[in-house]
Amino acid sequence: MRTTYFIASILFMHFGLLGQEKEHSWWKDRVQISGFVKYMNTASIANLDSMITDNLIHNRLRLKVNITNKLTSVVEMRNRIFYGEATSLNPHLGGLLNDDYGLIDLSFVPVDKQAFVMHSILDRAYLKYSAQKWELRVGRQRINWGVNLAWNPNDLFNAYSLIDFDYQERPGADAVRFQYFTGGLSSVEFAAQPGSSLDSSVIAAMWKFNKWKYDFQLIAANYLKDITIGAAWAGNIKSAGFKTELSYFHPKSNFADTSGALSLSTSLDYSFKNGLYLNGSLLLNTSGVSEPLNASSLFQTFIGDITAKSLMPSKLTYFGQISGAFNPKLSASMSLFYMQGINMLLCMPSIVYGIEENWELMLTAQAAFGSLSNTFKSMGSGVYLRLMYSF
Amino acid sequence: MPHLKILFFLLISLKLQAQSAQEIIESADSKLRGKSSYSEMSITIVRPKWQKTMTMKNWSQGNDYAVSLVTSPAKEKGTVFLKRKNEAWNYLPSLERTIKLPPSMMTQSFMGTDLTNDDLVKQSSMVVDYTHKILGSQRILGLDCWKLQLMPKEEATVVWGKLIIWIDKKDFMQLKVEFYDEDEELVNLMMGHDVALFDGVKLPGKIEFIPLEDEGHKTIIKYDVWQFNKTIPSSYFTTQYVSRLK
Repeated sequence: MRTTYFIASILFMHFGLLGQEKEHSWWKDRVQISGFVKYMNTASIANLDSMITDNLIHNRLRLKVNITNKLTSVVEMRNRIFYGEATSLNPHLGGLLNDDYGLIDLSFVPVDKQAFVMHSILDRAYLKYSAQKWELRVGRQRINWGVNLAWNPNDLFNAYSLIDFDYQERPGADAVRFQYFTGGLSSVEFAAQPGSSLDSSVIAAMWKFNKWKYDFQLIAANYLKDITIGAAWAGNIKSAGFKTELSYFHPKSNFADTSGALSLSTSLDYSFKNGLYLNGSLLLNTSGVSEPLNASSLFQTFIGDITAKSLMPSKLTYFGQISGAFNPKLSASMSLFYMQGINMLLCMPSIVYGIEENWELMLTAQAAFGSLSNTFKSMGSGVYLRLMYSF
Repeated sequence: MPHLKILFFLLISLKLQAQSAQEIIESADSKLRGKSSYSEMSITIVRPKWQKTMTMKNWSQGNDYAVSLVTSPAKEKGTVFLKRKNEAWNYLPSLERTIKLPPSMMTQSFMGTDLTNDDLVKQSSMVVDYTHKILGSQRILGLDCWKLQLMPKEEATVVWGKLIIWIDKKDFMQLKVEFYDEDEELVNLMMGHDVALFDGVKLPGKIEFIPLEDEGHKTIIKYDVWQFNKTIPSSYFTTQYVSRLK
């Protein structure tokens, strides 16, 4: 009782102080809280007569504290509540979600009932020291080295998939990252995500520079069991954007006798005066397959199993996107992925409507078509309706 | 021979006039920009049935360097647009990535407003990309103004076919601009309002952009803070700094 009173009085004093002008501005200047809450309804259709629905409440909480002018702490939490048909059909969901692949387990499943699962994870938790010429980050963080829209072979620390539209922040990597700025647009960077051995670690260096109005980057890395070299550029051909990104992976064991894998993506994009945006990309994954897939879980091969080395299961994949805004509140896009050899087409139409300043409604579908027994037909689809509130 | 003399005088006076038109535009332009500028503003998109407001902070250095940070609404907060000479980048905080923008993006609407990215970062400078001519004098907001005509130079990659600009003779404020397309048809109108002192400089604190083909549509820019010739570290205009701006 006495403790409660003590805590309450401290809180009271604290908020009392916050009310005062000086303290209030300290708080306002130093601490930033932001995030979103999303509700998403999913309908998965395996074939036309069976549909499974599910619900997801998804919250992201970002806390940024500028401890001093140079030292910042960033903590971001991803909280999700799953409930509905699909949740009750998957008794292992809680266990699957609880896996934290980082050095420290920052994942919690407070509720794991048959039709109701709650999961929380800290996917960012790092300290950042920003000096004028350099920056050091230690902890769980996103190291985004990607250049292209659709595929990022240079994104060695957390591979990104456009198909996983509801998690564009991506998981964090438990790593140390040091950047040294050698000029306005040039830097050298070193990042390490340590594992129990060299074969479970990613240790990489990158050199960035700008020449002939192009951004360039060169990478050398110990990427798990491979030695990797990578490169990328982003520039223009006339008024169209031209970006290319590649990484070559060579196994460390039997270095001389084995062949490596090349992951290369290149793209052209263009914006018309009326706001219409076009992007055409190509991905070459030499370790991919070129015959029809036999995957039990289709979307898992595109979302769950992707790495910088294998961003798509097929050897050659084409990507096209067209997007535009009907007005400042209503926009739409259509993305297509075609996997050559596997002979599969994935369509992703999407409509986004900004209801009010911080409210947004989105309707997205994903439909896969492929060749099964010599006929090209639907291989499953999902429809997602999402309401989002940002703060 | 006398004819030649007259022609010579004509040429000289034309040249003088062209120069002074150029000077007026230069004065108005350098007034807006200074050696460097910092501003905090709100942009409101007005449509017949609704409106949407966002707030931004902008830093600029001369003609070549500009960076803008979106401070609201929440979803777009932290988004940065960086321009260095002819190159532009966009930082998206949710992806933690800086994306190089294709030049074609510059002629596109800025975040759904009636302004293009170009209008905002002033890539197509009124000074450099156009030839200037004085058409006469006229009063706008009760102030005596120069009325100028700007025609794009042949090699310039600009969106407009012609501009008519009214600049007040005393303080060199741009108070009204008419934007014509390639067919010389009037498509957009810009109007300055609420003249006030910003950092000792007299400027319109509210600017309206009105696309004439869409009734009830406009974009309003309101300046809350506008400062000039303050020292801005050159690091502000680098791709490395975009995630640090605040």
